[in-house]
Amino acid sequence: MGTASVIPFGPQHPVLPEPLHLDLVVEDEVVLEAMPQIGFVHRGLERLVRSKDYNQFLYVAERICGICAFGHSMGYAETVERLMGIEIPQRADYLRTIWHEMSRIHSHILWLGLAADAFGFESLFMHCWRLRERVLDLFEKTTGGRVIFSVCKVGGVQRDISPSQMSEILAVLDGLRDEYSQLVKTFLGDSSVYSRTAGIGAIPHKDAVELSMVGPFGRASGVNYDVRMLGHGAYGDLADFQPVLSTDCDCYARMEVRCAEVLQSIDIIAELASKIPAGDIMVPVKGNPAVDAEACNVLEQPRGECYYYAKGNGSKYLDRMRMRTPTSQNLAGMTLALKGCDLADVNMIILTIDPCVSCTER
Amino acid sequence: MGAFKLGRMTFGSLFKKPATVRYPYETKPAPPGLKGQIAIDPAKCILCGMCERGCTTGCLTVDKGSRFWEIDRYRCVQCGYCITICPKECLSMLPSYAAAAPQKTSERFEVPEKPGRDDPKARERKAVQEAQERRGDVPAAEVQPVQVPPTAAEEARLEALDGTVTLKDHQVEDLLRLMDADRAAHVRNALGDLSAPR
Repeated sequence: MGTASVIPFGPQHPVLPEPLHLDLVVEDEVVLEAMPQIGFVHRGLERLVRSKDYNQFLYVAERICGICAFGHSMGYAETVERLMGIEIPQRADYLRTIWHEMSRIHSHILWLGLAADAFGFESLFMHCWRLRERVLDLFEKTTGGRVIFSVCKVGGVQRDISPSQMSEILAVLDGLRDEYSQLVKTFLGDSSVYSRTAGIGAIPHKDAVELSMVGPFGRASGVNYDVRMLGHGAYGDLADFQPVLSTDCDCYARMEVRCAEVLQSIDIIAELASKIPAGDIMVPVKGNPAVDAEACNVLEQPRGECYYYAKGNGSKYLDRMRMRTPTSQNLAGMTLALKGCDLADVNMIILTIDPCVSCTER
Repeated sequence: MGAFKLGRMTFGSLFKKPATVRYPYETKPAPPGLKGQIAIDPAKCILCGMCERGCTTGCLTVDKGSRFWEIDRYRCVQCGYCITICPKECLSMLPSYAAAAPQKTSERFEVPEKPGRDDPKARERKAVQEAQERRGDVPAAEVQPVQVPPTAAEEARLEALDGTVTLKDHQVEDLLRLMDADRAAHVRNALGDLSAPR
């Protein structure tokens, strides 16, 4: 019987793309307790809302995180539109949703690559990122940016997707589906991947619900919640939407959920592209948010539900802008999953919540 | 469950074109709508300063007095907000990136003067002409420059100075000031209400 000792993990660690620190209490290579600590990349972006007007802050909001960039600009724009009672054209709603779903595809494929890197499968990692590059090229052609698009605005979107670009998007995503299916076969069917992920870091459904876990992390534990099923905006026009669920509750299930969500997003884009209405892409926005006007909004980011809250003060500057990000919800679940796991599995478990520390700290 | 699931894709990649390009010997062609760098058409710019006030990063400087528009390329994040708020549509986004430089400097563009607009001298000339037309003493087309004859005091002083006196610097200045005062009084009389302080 050994004695318990504390091993620091992060903020600089090969498996972590962002700085997250954990104090792991370890005894006999088994983690007894994990205490997360964040605060390494706090930039005070929420405070900036008082010195940048509501149009300028959109460009700050989308720089909160590099991967959910479009999601944050979309979530912020929708919140301010609710605050000011602006109805945006339906086409703008569709375009936003298409770009948002493409962001989900690139985020999930990026995560799958990182997961492959975490369990030491380098060639799988390279293939994942090669496919992701095609989605980034589509972004570059339609918005002008690869990661930060600056294409959303309060009152609509700034660029339209032409019919030829739309057919190119569909063709590229269709081509992606074939190669992606081969990758999925490796993730879900390879014995070495299975042995590194199956039965690791399990969180039972009851605990997942109690800890308010969101996103693919929660859905892998059977939490039947996805903001898209509420039918906001263009999601309401989908013929059918069912969240991807799994009941295995372990790292393998989380990988399974994300693998399936990419294919689901490709289907959503194809459906929206066939239904997209013609018309304007923006409405003129005049005036400022009213004094003490409040608005809130939820959006399904690639990592889960993100909640936005905004308050106006009658001027062009907002009084308050608050975001609750999926990672801050999921950190509690992560510490539970780490309890009792093997020290060698710590990096895999941390990665399966897809931590986005930049979003969480802002 | 089995191993080598990725074998087909990995071996297939051996016989395919590389997915990457050999940068910097090769570069990918830029798509037409790429957000590369901000460009300005100085001929259209009216130096209103909307872009400077709207810029989120504060990378733009507009100086109306010295007539220049300046951009710090190293602070610009290519969000394109200035392009959307420019009232004269003189800003645009080029699909090529700004060249790298050994030092962080700003790029300055001279904005040429627009004739008949924003020109203080032209505005003054027009005001004088309009005032004279209002008084009705001369038709607008025949306005002549006001001829100022030398005053009696000036002539007397000039006679006294005729080639015999050497003046020191400060005396010359005093003399010139006196002459100017006389001339100004004469112009005031000639133009009447025109020269009253505005």
